[in-house]
Amino acid sequence: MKSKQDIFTDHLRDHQGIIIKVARMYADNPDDQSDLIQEISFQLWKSFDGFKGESKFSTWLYRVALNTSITFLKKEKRRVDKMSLGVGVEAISDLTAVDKNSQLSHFYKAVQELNKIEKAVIFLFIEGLAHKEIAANLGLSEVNTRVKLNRTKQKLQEIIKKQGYEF
Amino acid sequence: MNFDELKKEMDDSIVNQNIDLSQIEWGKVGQNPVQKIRSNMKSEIMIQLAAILIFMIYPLYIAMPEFSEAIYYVFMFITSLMTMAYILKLSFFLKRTSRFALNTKDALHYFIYEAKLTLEVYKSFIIAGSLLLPVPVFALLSGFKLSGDVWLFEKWFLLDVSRFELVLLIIGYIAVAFIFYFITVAWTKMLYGKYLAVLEQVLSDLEP
Repeated sequence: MKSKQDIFTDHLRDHQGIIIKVARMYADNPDDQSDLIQEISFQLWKSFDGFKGESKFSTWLYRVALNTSITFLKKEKRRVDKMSLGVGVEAISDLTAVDKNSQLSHFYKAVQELNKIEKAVIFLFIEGLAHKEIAANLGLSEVNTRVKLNRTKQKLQEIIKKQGYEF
Repeated sequence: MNFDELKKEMDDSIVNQNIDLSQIEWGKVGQNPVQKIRSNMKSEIMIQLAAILIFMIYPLYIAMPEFSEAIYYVFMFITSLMTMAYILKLSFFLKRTSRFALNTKDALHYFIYEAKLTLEVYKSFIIAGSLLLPVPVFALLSGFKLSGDVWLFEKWFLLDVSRFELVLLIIGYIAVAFIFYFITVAWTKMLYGKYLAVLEQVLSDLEP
């Protein structure tokens, strides 16, 4: 019989893509992305007892991953120590694998100018969640979610235009 | 902006990416404001309890003069009671928020409100306690010194001093009170305030 930790790591492996995508939305460099991936994984493990299987694992993961990212505190001091020691502990193989000239690269660059809630709203929208689900994930009302989503889309378009790119 | 295309590019870009689970630190303190506040509070409770114990036991080893020792213990007893009162308040807060998840705006509101309320009580008690603390500290430091054939601390405590010395005593005490006040405010801000500010920013971003 599988242990609790084995069940958890199986789930995590199956859904690791979501965590990597969330990390890219919230952090603009490999070090911060790696820290955030660690933090999300840790928070998921910590609250795994609360996952009763009533919803899909991915639904629960979206909620925990985004809540973690919204309140995540960067560890600036540790980074200096790490650099001075020349040690790079990365939780992911290659985080800079996005083509620098691609539409996606411009999108990620523009996203860094959004606030943390706007990032969550646009991310869940891109992931294909309905307004109602986005609202439930972020603890917002549906009307507020709609307003926020429209404003965020507009804001994003303007930022990308300012970067001299359009898509 | 074509979000379907973006979604496809996003998914394609992570195809060969894997999280190395062996690098995850499973037993650390979470890097989020709620866990930082809770962890700082737990450390503070332990430190304060240890401090009370040390301050209560230490004079037993140095055989202070009777008068200094009596005053020392009376003031330390009152200060310790005040410390215990806010430690209790901090413990209740920790208990109430032990399985806390910031997954709704209301939960965020609740946490910020409770934390601020608890910290106001904490600050008030610390400042009040700190105003009493100089007396036992002075008893400890000057308890063995003689002024003529009277103990120096006894003379000062019973205000058997010249008018000039009295003015100096009052100014010194007020100065110490201000220093304690500013240290307490700065300390609270460093341990808790900066994390509450992060939560307040999230709350403000959630507003329509």
